[in-house]
Amino acid sequence: MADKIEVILEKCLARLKAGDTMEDCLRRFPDRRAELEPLLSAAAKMYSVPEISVSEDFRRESHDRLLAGIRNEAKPVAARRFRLQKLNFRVIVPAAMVVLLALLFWLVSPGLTPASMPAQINPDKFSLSVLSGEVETLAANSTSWQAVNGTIELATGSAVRTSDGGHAVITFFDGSTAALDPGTEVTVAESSFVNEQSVHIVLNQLSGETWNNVIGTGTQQPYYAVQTPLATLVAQGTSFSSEVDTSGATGLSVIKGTVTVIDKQNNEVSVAQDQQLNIQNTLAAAVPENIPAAKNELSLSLNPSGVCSVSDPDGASTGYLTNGISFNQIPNSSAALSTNGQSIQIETPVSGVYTITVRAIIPEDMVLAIQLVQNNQTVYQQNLTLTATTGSDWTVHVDLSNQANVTQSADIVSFAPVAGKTPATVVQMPLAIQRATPVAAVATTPNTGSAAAGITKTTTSTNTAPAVSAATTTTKPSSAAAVPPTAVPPITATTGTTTTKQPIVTVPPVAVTPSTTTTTTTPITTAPSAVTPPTVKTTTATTTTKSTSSAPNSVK
Amino acid sequence: MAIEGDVEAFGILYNTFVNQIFRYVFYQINDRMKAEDITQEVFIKSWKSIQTCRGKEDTFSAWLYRIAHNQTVDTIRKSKPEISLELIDPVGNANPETEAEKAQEWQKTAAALKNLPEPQRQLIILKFLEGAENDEIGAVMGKRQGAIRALQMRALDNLRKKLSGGTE
Repeated sequence: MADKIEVILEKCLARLKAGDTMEDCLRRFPDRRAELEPLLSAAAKMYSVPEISVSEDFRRESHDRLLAGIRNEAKPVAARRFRLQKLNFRVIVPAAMVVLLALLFWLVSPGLTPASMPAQINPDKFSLSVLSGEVETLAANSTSWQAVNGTIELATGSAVRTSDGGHAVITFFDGSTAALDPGTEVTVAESSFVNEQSVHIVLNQLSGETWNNVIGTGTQQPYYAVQTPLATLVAQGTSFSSEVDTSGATGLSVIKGTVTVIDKQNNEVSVAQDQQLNIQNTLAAAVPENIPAAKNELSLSLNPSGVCSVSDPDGASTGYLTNGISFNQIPNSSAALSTNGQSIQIETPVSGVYTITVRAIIPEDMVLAIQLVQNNQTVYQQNLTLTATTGSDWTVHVDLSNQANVTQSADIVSFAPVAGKTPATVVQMPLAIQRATPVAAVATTPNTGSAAAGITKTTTSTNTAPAVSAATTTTKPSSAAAVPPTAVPPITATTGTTTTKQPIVTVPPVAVTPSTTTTTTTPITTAPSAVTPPTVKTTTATTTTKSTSSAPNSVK
Repeated sequence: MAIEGDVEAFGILYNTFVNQIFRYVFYQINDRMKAEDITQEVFIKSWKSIQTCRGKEDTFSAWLYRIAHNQTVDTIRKSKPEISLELIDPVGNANPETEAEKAQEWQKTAAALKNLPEPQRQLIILKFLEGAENDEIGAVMGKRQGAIRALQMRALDNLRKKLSGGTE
């Protein structure tokens, strides 16, 4: 049987490359001459293109800079920026104009700070907030990356990239967010509100890892898609992470909802909640697998007297505001409201200080439980009982120390009033605010139906016996720095039947020791203080089961 | 070895592959300045993730090409207005007239290349300008040998039409 033309062409190209002439090749396949000749002619044309090389100056400079950067662990983004500045001097003037225009925009534009909201619904605009590190953006009609600080508004088509230590969050017009880990580059390819009925958002992810939290609004299911070099990930009401490595390989983890994955060959796979998928080339060999249970989890719960959020050491936050706005920027985290209160889970928390913000919505005790769960066992628990007036906002700083992604010690290092500066960077979009039900409004209406409106007023007894078995722990008096200013609204602590005013205590580091058999309950001790600060009660427990976590706990 | 974190060894890898990667990028975007910039970025990225490439790619160069390809495609996608065609700047003391003709010829070829669909352009550059073998091209593009041969034929046919001023 005669060879296919593709095979014959390949043979001829090999001969051409080895030095044969085109005529030599054609003579070998006379009956295919008509087909081969134009193809070989095009190939010969390409073989004749002159070879080029990098200039010696570039090779040397780039080589030295690359190696120096590696040795000094310099950030590649900075190295690239230096080169752009050096080479693209032609864009200096336009860039300066862009900076000036941006400054003018900032001067005349209210409402783009995290504490406020954009005045109008602009589906084709999105907010970019820098959480930490270096972040740059590239406008759709620009070739020059610009460093970003704080929160800015960008148009669809803009690209964003984070440096090695950079964290950022994109907030879309419906409140959906994409949190960007270090080394990530994305382009917002589309953001629209089709017929004011359906959210349509498409994010192109070239590299790095994004954590996507889809909100949606309108009468139709939102279309939220992440396009990677190998596949398109279409969310169905979802929280999921997408990771793209330098080869374009894509990793997907679904924490909530379902994600449909479509590859370039239009193969389709559905990835359900708690499943993950790795795509090397196509979906042909890709099979969703169950995500292994988290070995290390930080868990917070708060009774219905308030709402809380937590900000991680990188500046990302997850939780609720009193106006009902929810946000989820911390990878692999979840937050939920129910009639029992609020809970937040963060899988595999990183080392560093987590800032928990607690906001009172009714003047009742707020009971905040902070737990570390390892391999389904609660290895650390702190219960804080706060009696607060409405509107009291407090932050609790918890320092976690990890080794090999497992928390070795946890330490409540300080308390402080929010005092106007919220730790969370949350852009409140108009549509999200319209949709949200203020928690304070529903909190006084018992037995409200929906989850978002599920906060009901409950009475918390401070005399409830501790439901957890507590290990022996000790506390030491706080340092002066841990005591918040006295000007803030006071919180009165109720310890058993006696109301006392106590200084805030700093709980010493608690080594994580799973499955202790110690069952002694030891009250937290507090030191007297000359000032009259708000007070907080803490209990520390090391228990053997996770199921003990939810009961409000106070210490007489 | 670079994979063990040896900076010097990575410097040797850089010197070995820098021209290859630069050419691959340049033939696609036809802009020396941008091609140098992308080339540097490719090596920075490769250093950052060199630990993850072990066993994932058939060859180191295939892995580098893939990084370069992603970086280049992204640059092309973001480049507005279009990147202007640039004359090849040959090294050496060649005859100016001959070089001008070559440059003119290259402009025509580059324009034809630019108008090819992305996979066809990638294949043409790898095969005819970079001299890569089909198995290496397959590793870079994630395609089997049969698919590479079929794509090669379509690409050459399409290129011929573009060079002669026709359409696909």
